[in-house]
Amino acid sequence: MNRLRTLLASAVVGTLLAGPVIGTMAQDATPAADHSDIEIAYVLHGLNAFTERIKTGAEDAGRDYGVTVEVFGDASFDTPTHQAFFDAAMQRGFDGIAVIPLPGDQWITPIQQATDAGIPLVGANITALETALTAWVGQDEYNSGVILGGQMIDQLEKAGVTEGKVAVGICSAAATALQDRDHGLRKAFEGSNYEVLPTQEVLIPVPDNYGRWENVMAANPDAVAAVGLCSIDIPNLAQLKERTGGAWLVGGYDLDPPTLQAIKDGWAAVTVGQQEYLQGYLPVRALAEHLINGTPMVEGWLEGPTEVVTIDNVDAYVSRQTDNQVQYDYYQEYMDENFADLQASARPYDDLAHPGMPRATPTP
Amino acid sequence: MSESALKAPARNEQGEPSRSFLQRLLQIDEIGVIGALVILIVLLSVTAGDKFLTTQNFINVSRQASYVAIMAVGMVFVIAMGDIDLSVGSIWMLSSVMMAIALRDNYHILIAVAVCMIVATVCGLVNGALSVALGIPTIIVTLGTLSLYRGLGLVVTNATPVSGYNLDTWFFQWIGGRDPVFGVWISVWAAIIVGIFGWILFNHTAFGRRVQAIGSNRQAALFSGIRIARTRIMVMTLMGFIVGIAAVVALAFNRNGSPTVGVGTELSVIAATIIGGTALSGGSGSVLGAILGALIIALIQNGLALLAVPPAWSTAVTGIVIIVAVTLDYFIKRRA
Repeated sequence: MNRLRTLLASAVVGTLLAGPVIGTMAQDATPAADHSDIEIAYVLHGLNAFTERIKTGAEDAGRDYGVTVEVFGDASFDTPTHQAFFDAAMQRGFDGIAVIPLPGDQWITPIQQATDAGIPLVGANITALETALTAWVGQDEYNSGVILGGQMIDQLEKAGVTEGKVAVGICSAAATALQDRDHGLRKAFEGSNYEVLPTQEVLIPVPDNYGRWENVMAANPDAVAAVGLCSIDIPNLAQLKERTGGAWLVGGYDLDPPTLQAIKDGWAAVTVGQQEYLQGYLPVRALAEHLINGTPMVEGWLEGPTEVVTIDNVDAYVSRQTDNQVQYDYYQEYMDENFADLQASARPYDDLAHPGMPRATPTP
Repeated sequence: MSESALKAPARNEQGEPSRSFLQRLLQIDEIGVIGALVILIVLLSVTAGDKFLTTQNFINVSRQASYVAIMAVGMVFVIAMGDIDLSVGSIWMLSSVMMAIALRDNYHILIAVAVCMIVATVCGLVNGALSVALGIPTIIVTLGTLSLYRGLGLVVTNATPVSGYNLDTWFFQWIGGRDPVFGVWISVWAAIIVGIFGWILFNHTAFGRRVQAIGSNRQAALFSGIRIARTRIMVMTLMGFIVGIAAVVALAFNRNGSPTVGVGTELSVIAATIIGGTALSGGSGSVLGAILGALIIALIQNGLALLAVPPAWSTAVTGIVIIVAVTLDYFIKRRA
């Protein structure tokens, strides 16, 4: 009996002592083990509200995987400046680099140099098909235009408007990603009774963008809709519509808080989002998994499906886009469902070279 | 010798040689820019008449020109003194985001406005002080502060627009709105008021004459006892102050403090000032001309949009029209 009591007592004590050890190990699993000696650079294409969410995604991934992440970007959106950041990242010996190559054809040499030096790379947001990149994260820009165009037609028909002119604005005429959006938008309107007007350049700085839209809509007083291809357009169009009492519908891109507010207030009809948080998180995650585990680098296209936001579902997006914790929690669940295994989730990289291909992108 | 050859030229009651109406017209300093403006308006009336010649369109264009016009008034002083300020766009951005932050943090509107004006004025003061202390031209100093001020603006905003404050206030409704009588945007009235004060300061005060004297002949100005360093600091500070005014009215209209504001604005401001007849070499200037120059630039953009000129062409066309406007001004002045 005494031996049994001793045995039981030892078992209890042992369990009590083991508990904290097990708990500590469990805590070590989240946050991740320390891999801070692994350094990953993320070279953005600029600095604004949109890239800030990419940066947040990248930094969250860094924290989750215990690696050191440094994000580079300049508000100028100037290519030589960002190429200099990329060069500096190579010079400083970062173990992996994620990059937004704007524009893709000017990044052939820097990316080749990094590839030759054996530095693993992942591209995001802007395609660079002429470069040596073999992994890319982002949305199908062409298809996003098709989706947006389809949504605009739906909204116009709901409003009882079955024909008329649609004004289109592009904030940077030379950006190929925006051109792809434009082509997709026009594809959606093909065969309809709507006339999509030639695209006008409306610039990036807010006052200039507003002034340009003011002129475009003054030139087309009978337009039934205005579509902006950049994130700054919807807030300005919403203000313009409010001030002028315009009856035209407003559509555009991205889920910036002022854009979501414009939809909530009824000034804008629809916006499409490209899940830029994933464009920050997934490249860092891909690099971290490769560098930590020694597994082959992911190859292919990690597609972030285009999201559609209208008055019917805007509330669900408002908290996600304004609260980093809500955003983090949402995407952790999202990635568990859709990107549990990055390589298995990846589409062939060559799919990026064929705009207009039928897509499996789900429309919410 | 014929009688006609001996005949004395006609004179007016004051005994001065009589001039024809055309000759008197050509004597106006701003005749070049006025001529360019008239030609542009006529051209646009012919090519885009039904959309161009509307009251609403002119109201829009005047507002679009107002921010550059306000800043161009300050730039007249800078350029007339023989300097250039490349940081005006960045000062605009930094002061407006600071004001937006103050509003977001629930400070009284007047305090927020004061923050904007103080930040802008201090930026101008720093430009002037650095230039004097380091003994280098303001173009070099402001090449650096262009990045410094914009960088500070990005730091305080985290590169994201600042919003989330109450827009149903007199500031946004009235300052950011239109006057009830003529329906003109308040920013246009601000440009007119700044223009009037700027014109008086430049043309009818000792300060204005000192500015022109320094730009005309720095050595002579120095020998005549003008304190060049002090004047330079005052001019750059004035420039900052005037940018602050533009930032206040622009924020009232745009409603959010955007870190993208002002990118490239310095070029438009300098172009407006030069088109308006202010000599790049210094020594003379025209406040009215600068305001009209801003209007010309806005009309060009307006015309390109109304005529649906393809985006790839619009930048080139803007440059061509500016060159033509400046050339026209040069030839008209030479003829005068």
